[in-house]
Amino acid sequence: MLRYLIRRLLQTAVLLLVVSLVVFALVTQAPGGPSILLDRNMSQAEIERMRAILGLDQPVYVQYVRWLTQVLRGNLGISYQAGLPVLEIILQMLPNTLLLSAASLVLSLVVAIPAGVLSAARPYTSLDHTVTFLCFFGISVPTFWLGLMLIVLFSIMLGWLPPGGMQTIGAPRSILDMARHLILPAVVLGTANMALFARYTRSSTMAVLRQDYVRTARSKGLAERAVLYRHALRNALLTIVTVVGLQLPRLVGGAAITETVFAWPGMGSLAVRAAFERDYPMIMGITLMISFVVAASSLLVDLVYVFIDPRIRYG
Amino acid sequence: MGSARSATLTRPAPAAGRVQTPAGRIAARFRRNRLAVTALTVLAGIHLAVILAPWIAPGDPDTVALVQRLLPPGQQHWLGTDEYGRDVLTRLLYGGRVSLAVGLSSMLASMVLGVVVGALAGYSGGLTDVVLMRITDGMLAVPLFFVALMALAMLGATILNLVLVIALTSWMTVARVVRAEVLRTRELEYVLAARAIGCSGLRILARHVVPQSIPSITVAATLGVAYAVLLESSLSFLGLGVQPPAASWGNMLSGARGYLRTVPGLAVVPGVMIFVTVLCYNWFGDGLRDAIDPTLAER
Repeated sequence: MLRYLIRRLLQTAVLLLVVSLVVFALVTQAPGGPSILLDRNMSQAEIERMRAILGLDQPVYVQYVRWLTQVLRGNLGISYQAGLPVLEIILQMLPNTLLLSAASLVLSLVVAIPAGVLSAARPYTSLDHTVTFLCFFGISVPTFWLGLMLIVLFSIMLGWLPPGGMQTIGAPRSILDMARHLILPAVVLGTANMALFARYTRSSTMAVLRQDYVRTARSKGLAERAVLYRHALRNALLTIVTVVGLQLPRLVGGAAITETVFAWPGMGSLAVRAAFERDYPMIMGITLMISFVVAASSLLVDLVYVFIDPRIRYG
Repeated sequence: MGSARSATLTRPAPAAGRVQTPAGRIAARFRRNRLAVTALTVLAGIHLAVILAPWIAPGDPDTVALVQRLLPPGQQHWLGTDEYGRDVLTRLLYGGRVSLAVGLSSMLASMVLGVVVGALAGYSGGLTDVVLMRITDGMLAVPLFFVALMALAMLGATILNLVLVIALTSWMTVARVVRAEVLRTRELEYVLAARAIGCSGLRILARHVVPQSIPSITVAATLGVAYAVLLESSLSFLGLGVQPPAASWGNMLSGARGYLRTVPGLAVVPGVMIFVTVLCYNWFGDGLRDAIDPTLAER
């Protein structure tokens, strides 16, 4: 177990290194500098001095090594635009993105697993066909468009839910208020995964239901419910956990779009802004942090296997 | 030897009607899938409409007429006009050209990349395989949407860059599928025979191994278009895809966003087009997979 953990951590470190290298090269080699250097009021000399202060006059590898040594000391640099430490800004936004992602993940699992199991228990019935049909809708609908449509329906026409933001401006901070703001973004972000997880739950449960031990469970007189949820689902869960793990990188990508649609103050909207403003330290910090969080969550998912399936041992 | 020849001679003539080739069997199975056939028909209609846009569109997609801005659907403008007074139906048709062209060409590029990587990894084995698959797995573990976002912001959101970025971030699935197929095929006897008579590795791959995976590649390509169209629209919506004034379904939505309260219809139409196109590509791909390999139908 320990050896497995160490190997995984090393792999993660290599991955982060490569990602940061690629993005760094992309950012520094692209034509045009950061947008703070495009200020018309600055003279050429001032721009040159600014470049020197930011270290942009150095060769790329020097810049990268400098950045990396600072990162290893826990310093992600200062945002060009905000003038604040990148880490500080990210740590403010990251919890919001994690909250949104986690809420949508929970929501999609809570809907998808029962839907998938029921479909598998009654295959080729109208219930099964309906679920399959809805799954195709969920996989095909553009996230941001779904968001816009739900805003039109629930916020503008019905007035039930707020159209964006994380809390009502001016109102005292309350969990209930935040939850109301969370509903639409979580549904929008969760839709595609809901559909995907339901499909995988269905197919893996169907495969499990054909096995001998399920027949044994049935023949010893267990209620169908117990057979399905206690015996079949437990084995089917392995597939679902795998799929959840594989979807994590896409989940944060979806979060970026969802956050933009709902003005949710998170890493996604931060990233879009940083990209447009060519805020190098911010871009690097966000990429590194998001990749790290995704890698850490994937590792967590792998460890969940052990709890679901006692047969699995990592050596 | 003699018996083999006589067997050929006495092979029964095909029964009355057509010969069932493998492709024919797939087509026959596909035709029985009503949903998939409907999807294909709708797709054909959409593609035809956008290809014929210059002839069937009621107006010019970029003509601004501020007096006619935000008109409701009516006789003159079937789907109304947008915030610059441009005809929505016209822009929908022209925008579809861009969205579908980007979707199809990035799918094509990602297929080429995926097939090359997958075939190379599967056929060479050894270190090449390990390295290529590590890269593939690594890319699948990275939040590529963020990288795509940064890349487009840095390199400029041109259509070519958009296609490249979509292709570079979506070839991994194909590579894995092709690799698996190649691993299965490369030890088959006819491949050994080809090697024995001295065919070069490249020729064996191109002529004998990769063609075996064409069915899987086709399915992956169909689903790949769906993914590419979705990605293009998301990036265009964020302002990092197709740049205005040129229309694409994604950036039409981005423009409509400011009028959700007053003219929500403006945001409905382009979204429906993306949705229907992606949905039909998914249904078509799914039907194709079932037709090619009926044992998979249960998944």
